[in-house]
Amino acid sequence: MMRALLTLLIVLLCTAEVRAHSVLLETSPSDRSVAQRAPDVIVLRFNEAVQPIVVDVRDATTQRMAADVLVVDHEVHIVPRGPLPSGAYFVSYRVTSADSHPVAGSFLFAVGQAPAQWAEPSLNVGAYTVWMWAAAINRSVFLAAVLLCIGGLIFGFVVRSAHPLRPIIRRAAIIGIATAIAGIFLQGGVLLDAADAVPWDGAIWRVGFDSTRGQALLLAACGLLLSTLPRLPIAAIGVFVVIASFALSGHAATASPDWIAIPTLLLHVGAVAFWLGSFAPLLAALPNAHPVRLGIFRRFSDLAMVLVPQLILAGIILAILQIRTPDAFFASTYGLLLTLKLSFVGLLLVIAICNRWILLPEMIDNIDGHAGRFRRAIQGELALGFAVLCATAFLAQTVPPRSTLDHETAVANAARGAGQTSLIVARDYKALLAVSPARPGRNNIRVRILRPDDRLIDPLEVSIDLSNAEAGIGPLHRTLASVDDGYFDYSGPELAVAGRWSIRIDALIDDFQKAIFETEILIK
Amino acid sequence: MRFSFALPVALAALLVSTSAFAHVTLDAREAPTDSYFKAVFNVPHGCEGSPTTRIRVRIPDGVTSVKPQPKQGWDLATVKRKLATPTKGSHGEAITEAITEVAWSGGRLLDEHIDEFMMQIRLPNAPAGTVLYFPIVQECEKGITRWIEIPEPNAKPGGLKEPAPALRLIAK
Repeated sequence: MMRALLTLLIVLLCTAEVRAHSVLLETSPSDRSVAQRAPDVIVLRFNEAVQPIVVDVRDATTQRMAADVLVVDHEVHIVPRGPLPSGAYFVSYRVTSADSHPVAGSFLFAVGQAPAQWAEPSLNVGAYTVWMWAAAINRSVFLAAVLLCIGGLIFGFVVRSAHPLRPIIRRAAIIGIATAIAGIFLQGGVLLDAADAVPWDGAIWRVGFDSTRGQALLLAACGLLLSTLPRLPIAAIGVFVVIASFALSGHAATASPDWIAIPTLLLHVGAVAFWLGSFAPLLAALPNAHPVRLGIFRRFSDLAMVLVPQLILAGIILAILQIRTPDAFFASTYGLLLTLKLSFVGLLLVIAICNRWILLPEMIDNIDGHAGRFRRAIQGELALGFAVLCATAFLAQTVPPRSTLDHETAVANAARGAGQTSLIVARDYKALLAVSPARPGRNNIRVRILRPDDRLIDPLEVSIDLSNAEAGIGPLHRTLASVDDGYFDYSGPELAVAGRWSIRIDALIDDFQKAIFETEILIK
Repeated sequence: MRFSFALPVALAALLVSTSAFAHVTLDAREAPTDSYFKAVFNVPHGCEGSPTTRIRVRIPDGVTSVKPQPKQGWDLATVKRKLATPTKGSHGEAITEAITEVAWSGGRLLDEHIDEFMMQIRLPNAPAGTVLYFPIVQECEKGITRWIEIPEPNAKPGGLKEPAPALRLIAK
C-alpha cells in the first residue's frame, strides 16, 4: 500500500504539468513607459499573492540597482535605495504562487527622456534632440568639407591637372577629418541620447564607433587623410575611399534592393562631389581668367552637362527607394526636408543653366565686363549647394517613410551579413527568424512561418519571449505586427545588452493550433 | 506507519488539486482504447480574472461519436466535418461525418467559480500509449486563453505555458 502510494506520488510529481496561473496584471511604471521623475517605488500587481524569488531592477548596462523588495497583499514593491538616474531600466521578476511553481517575466521603463532607441519608427519625428541638431550641423560642415576636398581633387584630375587650390583642399580635408571624428562622437550621443555628455565619455565614443555611421565616418576620415598626400595615385585612392564610405551607412545605403541603392548612391555622391566641389576651383580661376584659361569653364560645363542629369536621375531613384508611397511621403518630416532639398537643387539647376547658356558665352565674348556677374552666379551656386548639403544632413537624422517597412531594412542588412538569421524546426512547422543588426540596442525581429514543404503560411498571431539568463533579464513578451508577405515584425530596444539571448516564438496557426519554436541568438 | 502514510497522500492530493487549479484540464489522465469515455473538462478560472463566456473544444482525429452534455445557461453548438474515409460505428452503421468542435457559449462563469463541461466520446482503436490532445479555447469577457500547446516529442514536462488537456490511451 505504502509503495503504491509512493509510486502514485512519483507519477504525479513527474507528470503534473503544474504551472501556476499567477499573472502579472499591472505594473507601475508600465511596460515601455517613460517616467518624468524617478519612481520612489516600482509596483508589480499580480492576480494572487506571490512570493518573490528574484526581483530586480537593472539599468541599461544590466547593472543591478540597489533596492528593497516588499510583498504587499497581491503586489510586489521594489523600493530603490536611491533615486534612479535618467536612463532605461529592466525589471525582471521570478515569483512563486500558492502552488510553489515559478512564474517569470520582465518589463522595461525609462526615467527622464525616452532613449532614442525607444522611438517607434514613425513618419513624423517631431522633436530633434540636441544631439540630433548637433549631429546634423556637424554633418553639414562635414559634407561641405568632403565635397570641397574630393570635388577639388576630381576637378584637378579631369578638368585641370594643376590648379592653385592645394591649400584649400588640404584645409577642407582637415576640417573634414575633424568633423568626421566629431561625427563619430555625436552619433554615439544620438544613439545613446546621453545626458551631460563630455567628450572624454568612453561609452559614447564606443557606441559611436560601433555604429555603421561611425565606421563610415572613420573610413571617410582615412580617405581624406590619403587624399591630402601629394602623390596623385594615393590621392585618387583617397577619393575613392571617401566616396565608398557613403555606402556603409545611412538611409540611402540601407534601402532595398541594395544592388540598386548602393551603386546609385555612389554615382550620386561622386557626381555631387564633382559638381559642388568644382565651384571653389572655378571661383579661384576667375580673377586671373584670361582667354586661354576660359577653356576650364568650357570643359567643366561640358562635363557637368553629362554628370548633372545622371546626378538628378540617381537622386530621383534614391528618393523613390525611400518614399514608396507618395501620401506618406508628403505628410512626413522626411518628405518635407526632401522637398526643401529638391527646391534648392531646382534653383541651383536654374543658375547652372543660365551660366551655361547665357553667362558663359557672354563671358567668353567679353571677359572684363562679365567676370563679376559670373563670379556672383558661382557664389550663389555655392551658397545653394551648401543649403542642399544642410538639408541632406538633416535628412540623415530623420526617419524616412520607408522605415515603416522596417523589415525591408532588415532584409537588406541580412543580405549584407549584418544581423543574425536562424531556421528553427518544430513538430509541424518551421520558423525563419532574423534579428538585425543583432547588436545591443534597437533591433528588428522578423519571423516567417513555413510548412515542412517550405510553403509560407499566414499565422493568426506571432509573439516572442526574449530572455537573457546571464544578464538576469526576461522573459520579455512582445507581440509581432503582421506585415505583408507573411512577415511578422517587431522593432524595439529590448535586446539592449550583448550576450546570448533565448528567443521563444509562439505562432498561432489557427484557433486550436500553436507552433512553439525555441532558439538562441548572439547579440554582439 | 499510519503517519508516514498520510504525508504522501496529502502531498498527492495537494498536487492534484493545484494542478487542477492552474489549467483547464481533463478529469482523467488515461482511458482504455476503443471505448466510450466521459470526458470532463474542468475550467478552474477565467482569463486573467475575467469571467469565461465561451469554451470551445477541438476533438482529436479518430474520435467518433461525440455527444456533448447541454448545460443550463449555455448554448451548445458543434462543428461537423465530412470524413475522407467513412468508418463503422459500434453497431456496424456507416459514419460519414464527425464532430470536430464542440462549443458552449453564452454563459458567464466568474473567475472565482469553477465548472465542468462534459461530453461522451468514443475513443479510437489506437495502440496503447497514444496520447490524444483536446485543444481548448477559453473565451472571456476580456481576453482569451488558448489551452492548445502540445509538447514536442521528448520534451520535458512542465515546459508549456498553456498546455492542451491530454488523454493517454491504455490497453483495454
